[in-house]
Amino acid sequence: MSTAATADASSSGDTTEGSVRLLTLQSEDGEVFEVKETIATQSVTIKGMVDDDCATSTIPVCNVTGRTLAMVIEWWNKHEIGAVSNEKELKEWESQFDTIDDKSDRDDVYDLLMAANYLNIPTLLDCCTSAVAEAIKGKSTDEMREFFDIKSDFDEKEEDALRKENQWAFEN
Amino acid sequence: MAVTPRSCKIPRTSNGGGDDEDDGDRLSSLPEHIIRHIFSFLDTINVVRASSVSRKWRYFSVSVPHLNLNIFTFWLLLLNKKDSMQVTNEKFKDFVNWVLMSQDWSVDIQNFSLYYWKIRDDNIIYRWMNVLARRNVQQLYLRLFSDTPLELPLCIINCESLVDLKICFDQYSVLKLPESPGFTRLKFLYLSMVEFMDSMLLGNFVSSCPVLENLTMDDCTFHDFKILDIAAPRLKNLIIDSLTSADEDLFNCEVIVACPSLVSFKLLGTPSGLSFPGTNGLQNVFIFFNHGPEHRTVEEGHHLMDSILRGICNIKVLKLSAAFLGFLLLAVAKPECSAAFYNLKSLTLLVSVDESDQSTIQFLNHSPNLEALSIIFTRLEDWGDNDVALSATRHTLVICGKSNHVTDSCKMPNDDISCMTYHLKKVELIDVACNKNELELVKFLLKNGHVLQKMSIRGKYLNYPTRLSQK
Repeated sequence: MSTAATADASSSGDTTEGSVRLLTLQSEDGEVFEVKETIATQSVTIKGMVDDDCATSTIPVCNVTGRTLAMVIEWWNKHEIGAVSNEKELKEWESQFDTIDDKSDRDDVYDLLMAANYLNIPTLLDCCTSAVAEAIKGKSTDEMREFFDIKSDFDEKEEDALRKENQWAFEN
Repeated sequence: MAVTPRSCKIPRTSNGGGDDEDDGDRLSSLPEHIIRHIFSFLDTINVVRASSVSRKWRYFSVSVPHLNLNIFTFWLLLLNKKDSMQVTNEKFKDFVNWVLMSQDWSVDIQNFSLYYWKIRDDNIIYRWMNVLARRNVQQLYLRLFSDTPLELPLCIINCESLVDLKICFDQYSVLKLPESPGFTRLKFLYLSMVEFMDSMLLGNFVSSCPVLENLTMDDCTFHDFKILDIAAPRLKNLIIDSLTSADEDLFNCEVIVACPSLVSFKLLGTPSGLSFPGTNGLQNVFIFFNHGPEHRTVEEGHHLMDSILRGICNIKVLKLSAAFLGFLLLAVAKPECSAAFYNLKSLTLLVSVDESDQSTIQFLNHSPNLEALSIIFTRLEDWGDNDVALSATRHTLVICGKSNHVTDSCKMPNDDISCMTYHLKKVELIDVACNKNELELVKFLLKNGHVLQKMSIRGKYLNYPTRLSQK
């Protein structure tokens, strides 16, 4: 997965762009981003703040790092109406999230999931959850443990019982 | 808003290895609803596999409200692929039984989807349905290979949680419909490759579903039907597709649609009659006739069109096949017919290349307020010879020429067409092969479309759309 959308994100100086209002978002680690209101309101959470007139000063985005927030803003930019000319191009761009075979990709997806959850961005949440589901598909129990770095917390007897009950889980 | 744990962020490592092990399992520390969301995408076989991963995953797995049990996935994933159908079936049954047993029964099943090979007197599916009804199933999708008729069991008919029912057969099979009313909350009913044997029973069944809103009969056969009577008080969307069932389509059947709430109607097939008594709110209609007027006598054609025109004259969105357009033009060509579609805003035509220009423009004369026109060019070679559905375009091609009394098909009319002068803003031509007729049509539309804002032309073999703008 490619990352970092700093070009659109980190602007300095101007706070108005035509008649479009800019919102200031601050990540957990202190990075500040100025984002067009029309784009940022893809987040249901931010939209709620704008509607309630609470978005006048800097909006803290807790638990989301600057690195992740930049990815989220890239997502918003791509999903702004009219940003991408056709559905196919958008799907192609989204397909970078499909494979999470590398650990760093997985970490990105988890970060994005947390951000999508906090900011309430349904499209991003769907995309990332389905990517994780795709990775689970077709794996045996042992393969899942290995892939997702999960240690079994069953004791030996339980593990034995599981293997008998769910014989389908361990075959491949 | 879910509160997220602060410790979720871990530092990036360049090589991905050598992490602290506690940091490893970030997936399980995601909020519960996200993990559920992830699990909802999975086939149940994968959920069962996930249930043995850890205690936490087990907890999520047994309470997943979506079950998706597919014998084919099961066979692909697990079994020795040399297993016979019977052996596979036995193992799959065992698996489904275990899933239903081991799940947390306090969780209602939102969605149960099953693909199963039901062979002869195998009754296990009725036992499963019994469990589903008791677990308040809301959506039930059955895809079955079945060599014996399927009966809708009483527990499902009387199931008060069931909102959405979908039954698809792999090969035409009889579905025994209930004689007593039920389905008190059923809103969506989708039936595919079902053989209907009794027109009374089907009519009664549909009208006995009190809140049914969407009914689709896809690729169904209507055995010896003289009348297909669909009368449902709340029905909003109705789709009847009998195209591929060549021998038992609706050719000798009168279709009566009496649904006061109906908004959208789609029919694929050529019935002997089609009427809409009491169906006044219709807005969106797609009629795909596969037989043109040459298959009917003139009287039959008029009988058919009289009742259809009464039913669809007020609609806003219309999509038609060439064969239907053939009937329509015959009907509106009658001097006593003053039919006009005053409310029609959007028109889509599926036409074959050669007759497109004349018939299209003729029809524009009868739609004074049309704003958007889409023409999809079908090509004879696109359809296999055995494709009964669309080989019909071949016939219409001739017929439309006749009905228009025009010999030179490239000649365009000169008189003003009201919708083109005042309303037609958007034209879309799809699968254009750039032959002479099509180009003439484009020229005509550009010349006469006084308020045209956007015309898009998509070639059959081109990947990029060509956009032309005027004014």
